Amino acid sequence: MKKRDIVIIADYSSREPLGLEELIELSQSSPDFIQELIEFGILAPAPTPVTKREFDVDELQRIKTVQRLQRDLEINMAGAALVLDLLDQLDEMQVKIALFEKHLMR
Amino acid sequence: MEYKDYYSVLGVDRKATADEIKRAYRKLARKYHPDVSKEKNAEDQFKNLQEAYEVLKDPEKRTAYDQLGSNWKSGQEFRPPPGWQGGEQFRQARGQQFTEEDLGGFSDFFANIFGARGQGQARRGFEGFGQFKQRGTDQHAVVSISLEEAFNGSTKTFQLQIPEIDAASNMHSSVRTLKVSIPAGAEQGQRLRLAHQGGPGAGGGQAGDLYLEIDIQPHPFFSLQNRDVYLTLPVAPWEAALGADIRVPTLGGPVGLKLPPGSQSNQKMRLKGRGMPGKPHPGDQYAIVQIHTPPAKTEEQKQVYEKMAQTMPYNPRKDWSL
Repeated sequence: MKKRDIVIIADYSSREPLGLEELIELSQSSPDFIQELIEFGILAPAPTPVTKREFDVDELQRIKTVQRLQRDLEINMAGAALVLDLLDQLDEMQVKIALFEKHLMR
Repeated sequence: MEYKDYYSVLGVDRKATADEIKRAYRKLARKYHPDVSKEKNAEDQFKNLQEAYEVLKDPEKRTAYDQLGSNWKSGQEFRPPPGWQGGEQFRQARGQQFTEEDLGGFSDFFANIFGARGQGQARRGFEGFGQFKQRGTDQHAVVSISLEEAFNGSTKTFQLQIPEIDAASNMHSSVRTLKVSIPAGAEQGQRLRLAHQGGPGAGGGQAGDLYLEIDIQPHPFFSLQNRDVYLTLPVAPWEAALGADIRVPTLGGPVGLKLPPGSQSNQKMRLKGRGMPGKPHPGDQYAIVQIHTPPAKTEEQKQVYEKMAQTMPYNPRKDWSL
């Protein structure tokens, strides 16, 4: 063991967006892949040229999820988009069910 | 090291055909895939599954595995039989075959039978492959906060184990202190990326990233839906019937709520702007009316209810037309 004193400072209010190049590097993907994700509605469409667009960490995670789904479950892009939509719906429903159980079913 | 029963992981017979194995794998992969699964330990289960499939889908590996015999029990202390050569014959292919970073390490059992990998991942860069450059693995940590902390903002300090490579290129983990500033209005699941604070790279490769994810703990009274806060508001029947001024807790402190006459259970009362802070405007708080019936214990109390029944005949089931 060494250096017990390394302190990492993290600040949620200074979340920095990712540029296209960085996004591609971190997801080990390609501009074409990002374009495809936009076409399938997995990433929001770029209002400006995609090269100037900024992405956030949640979008990076979405890309990684798509990659894992494709690799592990042999899902194509349309299927992955559907899975993500359903997962979002599932999350929303679980929040609602928890609300319902806590405040209405007593 | 513990023996792994790959057939039981996939739930197939030792005589299963390649098709049966593939079908079993696909079905379980859907069940345990960490991105979709709500099962406990989905990640470990999925890793196990992939390891089992990695061996059983490949006729050579399957034959080698079968040669260990079928008398082993899962989890049993395992030592390769004398003269076991299995590891050698697979050692050559390992370079290209297992490089998927987020697969994580397969078990020691797998490494011993089919050649090392896993903890060797970083070291490989220094030894075998001179040009080999590999980015470090990404690390993930959950920052657990209370609802009050999410509302007010907070600074959390905690210790984190991060893998490190020492001068002798051995992997071990080191403890680092992480100080996280969380602004007021933090959201469930919100992620923060700390570039190059993850696992170390190999052969001059960059360190991986550290991802933090906020997890807001459940609160005894309040719940959260996006930026809106929900609270059950217990009221007495006379308060519901006649209306009342009630002091209601909110995350920002108590406020007055005017309960209108004729309120019913499950009715939502909105306290505008009393939810979680955020842009362009804060969320609301909803108080959900819940009428509590006082028990009639004494004779006098029973008479009050009977008097009510006489004075205000009321059929809550009039829609049934029985």
